[in-house]
Amino acid sequence: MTQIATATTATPVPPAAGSARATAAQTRAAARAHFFTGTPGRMRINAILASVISLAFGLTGFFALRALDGAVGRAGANTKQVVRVQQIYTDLLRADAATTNGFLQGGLEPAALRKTYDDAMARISTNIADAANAQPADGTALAALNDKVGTYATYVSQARTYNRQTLPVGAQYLTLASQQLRSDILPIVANLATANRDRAESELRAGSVAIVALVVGLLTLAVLGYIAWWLAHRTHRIVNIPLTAALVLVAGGLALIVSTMLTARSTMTSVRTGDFTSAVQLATARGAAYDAKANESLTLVRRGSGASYEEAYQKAIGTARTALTAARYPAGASPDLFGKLTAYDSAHVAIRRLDDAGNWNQAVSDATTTKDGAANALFDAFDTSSAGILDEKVTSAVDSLSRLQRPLFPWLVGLAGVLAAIAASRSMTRRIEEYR
Amino acid sequence: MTRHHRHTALAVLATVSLTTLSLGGCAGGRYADTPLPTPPSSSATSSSATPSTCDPATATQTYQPLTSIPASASITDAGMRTILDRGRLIVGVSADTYLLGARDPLTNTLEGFDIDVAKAVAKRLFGDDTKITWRVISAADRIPLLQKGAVDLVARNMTMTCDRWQQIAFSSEYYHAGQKVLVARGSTAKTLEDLKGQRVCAPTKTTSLAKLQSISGVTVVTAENHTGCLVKFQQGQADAITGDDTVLAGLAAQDPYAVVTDAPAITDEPYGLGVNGDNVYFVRYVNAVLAQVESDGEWKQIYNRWLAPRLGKAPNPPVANYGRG
Repeated sequence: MTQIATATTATPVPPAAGSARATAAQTRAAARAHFFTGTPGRMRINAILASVISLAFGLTGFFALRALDGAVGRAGANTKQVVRVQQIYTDLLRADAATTNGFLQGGLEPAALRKTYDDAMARISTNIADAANAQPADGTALAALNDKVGTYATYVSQARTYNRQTLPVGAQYLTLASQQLRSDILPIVANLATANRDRAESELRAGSVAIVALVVGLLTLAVLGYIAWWLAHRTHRIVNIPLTAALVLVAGGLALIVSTMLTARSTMTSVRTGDFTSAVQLATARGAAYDAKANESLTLVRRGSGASYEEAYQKAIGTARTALTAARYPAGASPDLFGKLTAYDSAHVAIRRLDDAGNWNQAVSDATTTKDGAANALFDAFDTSSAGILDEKVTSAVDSLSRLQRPLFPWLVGLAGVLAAIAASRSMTRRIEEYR
Repeated sequence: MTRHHRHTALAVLATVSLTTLSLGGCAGGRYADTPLPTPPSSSATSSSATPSTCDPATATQTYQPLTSIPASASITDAGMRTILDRGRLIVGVSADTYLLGARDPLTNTLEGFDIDVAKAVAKRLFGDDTKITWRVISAADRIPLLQKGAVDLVARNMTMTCDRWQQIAFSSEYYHAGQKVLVARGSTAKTLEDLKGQRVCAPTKTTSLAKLQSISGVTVVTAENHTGCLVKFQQGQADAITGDDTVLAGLAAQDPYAVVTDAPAITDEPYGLGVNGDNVYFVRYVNAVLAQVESDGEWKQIYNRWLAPRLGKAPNPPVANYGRG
């Protein structure tokens, strides 16, 4: 281009003194105009193009991997939040079952049941605080939950106070507490569980966020490859070292993206369909089992008129069985959670038979004793083993996800893009000089 | 060519910036707020006070009692044989109406005026007043359970009305109550009329609620039972409670800040034991038992045990009206 420019200005017209500056400006303008023309011009354009697209790849790869890493992190956090919220759900029903069962025995609440209630309520407070810290979007719902749980606890302590004075209004406070728990409190917790499960699932499906980087990466390789081919064709030199370096860097970065993406996708899918589903379903089963247990006590509190509570019991035990099956612990699986739940259910059937036959005192005695083989002991067996497995599933899901986190990878891909861009920008310098 | 390349470069730049922006945008992990459940629409208490077509004077009319209480083995009436062969009397009672029918949290047993009346019937039937299967029922359950035959007898402060006579049968009147008003200590209100603009509680499906709904200007609050009304009263959701004097006495006994006003009762509430309408022979049998209980002083003993400390000296038992033949 410089040559052409020189040729034009070399016309033997003596420049007028006044127009000398104008001519110099014209010269520069012409030089600029021809900067992108001819073979050197195309070389310059290709160098810029290769550099820009390498940089684009670096940036896209960086952000895509960061986004993937973020999604993995959030999936783990959301999983923990789902579990936390479901723990609140289970603890609320555990507290309710303990109080109702204690009340049913008559006289002072047994110390063990009182402790179960106190421990459950303490865990609920901690979990509400932790959950509020973990997810700002749950703030409003958790604030409402905290308020209502406070009211529930107040009603329960009112019930105890009146019970100590042997006044029937105590029983009414307990009924009110149980009703309020089911009508006002559990629906909030159910909403929290659904919202967080949806969040966790949508993050666990976010493995494809890096697809953008994949597309940009392939485009970059194609562009760099085309330029290399064009250059080889034009200059009859097969290998351009800087351009080849850029190609290698981009290909390396792309390989990193592809492998990270594939690992992430497969791990996230297996967590989503495996441990995560099992954990959610197990927690659901446990919550439903406690709901059934509390309803068993309520059927006896209503002494012969507990039909609506028995319906609620049947519904809850059905939910628990479905959830156990969905958690991959159907009848006969090992450990036999389903069998343990069924053992408790059989004890419940016996208690109902006694009450329905008018033998309320025996039914209450069977429903409240802590002896081996009694309903309470059978329920505890289910509770303990399902809690252990739930814990394993959650730990396994969260561990798999945290192993996926690679905070260094986005920087590596970004660096590869920047280095490739620098290399590409220098790829034509030598060749252009040959044209001078 | 030049222009083409320049456009390509621009397009690539644009793509880069857009991609960067969009990735940056969605990487925040900001979620929509978890929704709160919508509260169920509060069911307005519809005034179910359909004008009665029957003659109120027939409310306390029951069947003639058996001339004497027969030995259980000699009874052949099919309805009563079912009970006798079962060996237990199924009685629908309240477990939360202090003094009438309530569970003692200490002993886990049911006790009160109504409970003792039911025991008196079982004692004659089986010679043992523990041969009872208690069913704790709400006021709203009383008629459906009797009609289904799920309970033999309802002893749950149940007012005899001519409307209810069309659905079930009653024994003779065993207690004469009247509707009164319970207010907070220090309140100047004496009657329902004085409570205009305030919230008054009565349990669903009771004669007290029907009466309350006929007073204009009072905000009606309902609860499952009278003790539920006391909870609402204590929680500041109701300013007063209306119900039978017996029931209100039981509520006031549990809360020193609640007092039953000294205004005279606004209604007559004759209590009868509810029986299935087809079981006329059993009604006659129960009437004979009640007549005996009232004449031999047992009625007064039961009254003194539960109600005298709150309602004063025992009145004479109500006079039975056997006008139904």
